[in-house]
Amino acid sequence: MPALVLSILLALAAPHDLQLAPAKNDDGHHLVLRFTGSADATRYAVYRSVSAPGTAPPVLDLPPWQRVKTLDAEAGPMTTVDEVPDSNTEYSYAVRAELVPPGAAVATEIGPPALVGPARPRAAWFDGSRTFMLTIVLGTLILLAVYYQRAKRSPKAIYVRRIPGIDAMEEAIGRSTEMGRPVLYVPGIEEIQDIQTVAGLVILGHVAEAAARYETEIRVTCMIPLVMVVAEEVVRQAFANAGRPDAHRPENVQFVSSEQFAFTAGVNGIIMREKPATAIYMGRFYGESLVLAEAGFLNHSIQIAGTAELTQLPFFIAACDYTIIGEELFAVSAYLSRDPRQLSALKASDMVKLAVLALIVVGTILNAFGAWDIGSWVTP
Amino acid sequence: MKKQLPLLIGFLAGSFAIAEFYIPAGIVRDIQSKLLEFASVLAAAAFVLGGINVIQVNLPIILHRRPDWQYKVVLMLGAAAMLLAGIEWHSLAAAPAPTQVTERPTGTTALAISASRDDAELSVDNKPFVPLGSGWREPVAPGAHNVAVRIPQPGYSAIAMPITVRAGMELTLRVPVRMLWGPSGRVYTWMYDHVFGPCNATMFALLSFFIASAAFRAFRARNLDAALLLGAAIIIMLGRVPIGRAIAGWLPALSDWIIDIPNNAGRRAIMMGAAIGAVATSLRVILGLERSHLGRD
Repeated sequence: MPALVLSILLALAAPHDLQLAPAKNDDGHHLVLRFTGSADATRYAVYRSVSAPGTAPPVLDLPPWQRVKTLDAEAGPMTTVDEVPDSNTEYSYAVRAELVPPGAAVATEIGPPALVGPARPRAAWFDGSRTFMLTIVLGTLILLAVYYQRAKRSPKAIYVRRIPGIDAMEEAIGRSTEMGRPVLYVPGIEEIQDIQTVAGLVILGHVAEAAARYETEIRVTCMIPLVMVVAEEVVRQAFANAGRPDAHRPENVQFVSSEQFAFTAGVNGIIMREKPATAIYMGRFYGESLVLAEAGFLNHSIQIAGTAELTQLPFFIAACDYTIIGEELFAVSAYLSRDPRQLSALKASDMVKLAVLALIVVGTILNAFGAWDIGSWVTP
Repeated sequence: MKKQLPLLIGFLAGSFAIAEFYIPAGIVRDIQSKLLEFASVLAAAAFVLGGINVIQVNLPIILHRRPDWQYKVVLMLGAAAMLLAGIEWHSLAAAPAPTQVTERPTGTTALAISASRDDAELSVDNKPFVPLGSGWREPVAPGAHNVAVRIPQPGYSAIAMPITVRAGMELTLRVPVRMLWGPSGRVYTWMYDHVFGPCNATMFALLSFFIASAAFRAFRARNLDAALLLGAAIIIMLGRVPIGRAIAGWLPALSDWIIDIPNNAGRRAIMMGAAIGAVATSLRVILGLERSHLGRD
């Protein structure tokens, strides 16, 4: 019997060149284990222990050892990342090769274990893989400060090109006033933390203020209750800004449903029954975009849509009178307010865009000649 | 103060969210997850406000018999029905009776199983489920067995348990099966599957007709841009169907080229512009440059 056990244990060689290191850019809960496999193994069993490995061969299937992973054998060096429960504890690892014949569930041959460790995971205070993104944010921040100072000195120096969709908003609200029909506003169907929803709510402030000035009813329909709460506050403030707080009707900001197509059916019902002369869709939309826009088209509403959701842009372009595309959605508020502080942010983002464009051109040329791989620098 | 305090809170929370994106250290993530928990609580509270808003908007219309008030009645009844069905009423009742297990010596090693409902199904030792009917009795080998009893429709309690049958003994199981309430209960799932589901699918199905009507308008060649759009659309559509390959072998390749090269270039340009615009907008809100929602200076 001992001879049989010995033959089983010695049939497969132990993995070698084991290395254990904390994961890079980590939150302090991951260790990286690298090793080179043994010939004939079909898989490797990885065991973890909180104690130092010691010199005697461990009994791997008993505590403190715990089987944490089973890896299919691959040619060449193998790497695995293990999530450990405690960031302040040292861990040791053992790896052993196993041979599982095709169709079998259990290993028929098991190799001796190879040990490595102990090592402790390390929490990083900066995620190096996000350096490029940080550069973009800091670049925008610095340019924003520069253009803010410039805008304070000479507010008229910042030129913003015409955006027809935004220019049409006031005209569309005026049309609603003339026809005595409401303005419908949909701030997308995403959660409040989505930047497009934030942009949609900021634009809602301007639209509601214009509607208040024109003494026109504005209906806001929301799919997310938290968005409804914020939208209600935005509209209330807009009516106060316009000097008509008494004209604000809280029930005009409406939570319809948190289900996508129930919401769509509800908004379509409002479009078909209340016949708004103007429908404005600003924010993130998905499959309901065309259903809403086509209902508005059938109702002969002036429709203005704005989204940075690429898949829905063609639908809005096909069905709406004006479409605010991608980045323009984030420029609407600054464009409408003409506030130099906000226009400076537009200018800053334009400059960053120019820098990224230059980087793409230079990077493409250098990459074509094999001098520099821009991709590995942007997303290492 | 009314304006400065929200700006300060926005600045602190926004700055922390940006910092958290670049700092993977555990303590920062822990604080972030705590903040996200706060956000979840706020969102849950907002659902209550959403419900109140639905009542505030629709109830006066019903009470004053304004136009289309009948639709509001349907809405309110539907909302009330889903609310009532979504409450786990069964958890308010007494604890369910446990599975009755009795063992008696019969000389034959056997298993006898019955359930409190005739439409229950039974699986012994992970075999496929079979109708249980008024009862099931079979001789079995002595030792451990797995027994599972369920109702084929969702929304009922199900039981899966290991049992041991001793040699020469007959083990009798009487399994209580009961209807559940709440989001995974019978009434809620029935209404969701048989009322909401078909209505939802109907709304989504409208999209195909709207795509046809919108495409018809968009593809009218009124100027050069629209003509280009029409030409590209024809090539893409023909390239995606078998008849396209039959007309010309190069049509699918041209269709792929239009999607992969010019279309992709445009998409990426929009995407990058939107991403940088989003960064600038976020900074504007965090730094308090965007304050239109707080009223005039």
